Amino acid sequence: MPTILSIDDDPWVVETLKIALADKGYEVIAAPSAAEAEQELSRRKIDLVLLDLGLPDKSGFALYRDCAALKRLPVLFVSGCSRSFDADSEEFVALWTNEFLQGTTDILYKPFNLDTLYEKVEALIGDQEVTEREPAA
Amino acid sequence: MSRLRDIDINCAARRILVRRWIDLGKTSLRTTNGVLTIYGTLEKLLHAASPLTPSIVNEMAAELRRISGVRRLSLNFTNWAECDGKWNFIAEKKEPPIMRKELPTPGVLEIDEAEVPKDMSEIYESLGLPNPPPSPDA
Repeated sequence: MPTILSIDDDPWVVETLKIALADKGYEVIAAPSAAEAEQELSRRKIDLVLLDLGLPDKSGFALYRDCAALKRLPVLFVSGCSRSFDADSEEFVALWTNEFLQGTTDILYKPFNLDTLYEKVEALIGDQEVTEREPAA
Repeated sequence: MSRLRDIDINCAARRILVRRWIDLGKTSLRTTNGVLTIYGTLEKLLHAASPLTPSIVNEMAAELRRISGVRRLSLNFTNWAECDGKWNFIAEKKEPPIMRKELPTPGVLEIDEAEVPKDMSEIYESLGLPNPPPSPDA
């Protein structure tokens, strides 16, 4: 079962993601801060990270830029503010032209419907239901 | 076509969108057995240096088609349309306000508050009613 790390300090969002993604065969674990996220990333195998921008101890962009473990994983930014993804921001442009350009990072704007969430997750790490139906090679 | 190959195609498609400063949050993409589908609203990021032009979209579509493993490309945007092989900007499709079909009380029309436009004249016109005079509070 693929493991998804949700880095978000809003327990309602995390609970929604847990329930919704469990239905599709994913396990969701939560980290409410950047520090706890880095701990989880160092001790578990994570397949995908859902990353909020507004964390209590660090911005999501700063965590994405600074955390080496995060750079090796597919990342889905989950944000309520499209204006944060601003080509006028030097910090964001540096991320866009480096990390985003690897092709393994996507953006999901809140509020979102579950179909869009599933589509974006499956496009990053694959459809778990389909995978389980596929015969072993 | 393996699932891994489809994910690689998604990754290559995202790179093509990122190189053109396309807002990934307004589009979705998926690949199934080599059929790449991208849909949503095709827009550049806020404050991107130059606007999206038909030639950029045409070039982008051609590049997406050339991704290794892509058997077919399906692009379905709310604000761009292909005509005779060329992409053009179109006004975004505007959905009418949502109205409940089942009326709780005969003769009472309920409107979803989240969908109420600032300009109510649209509602009055759709009901065939004249616009009321402006409220003295307005």
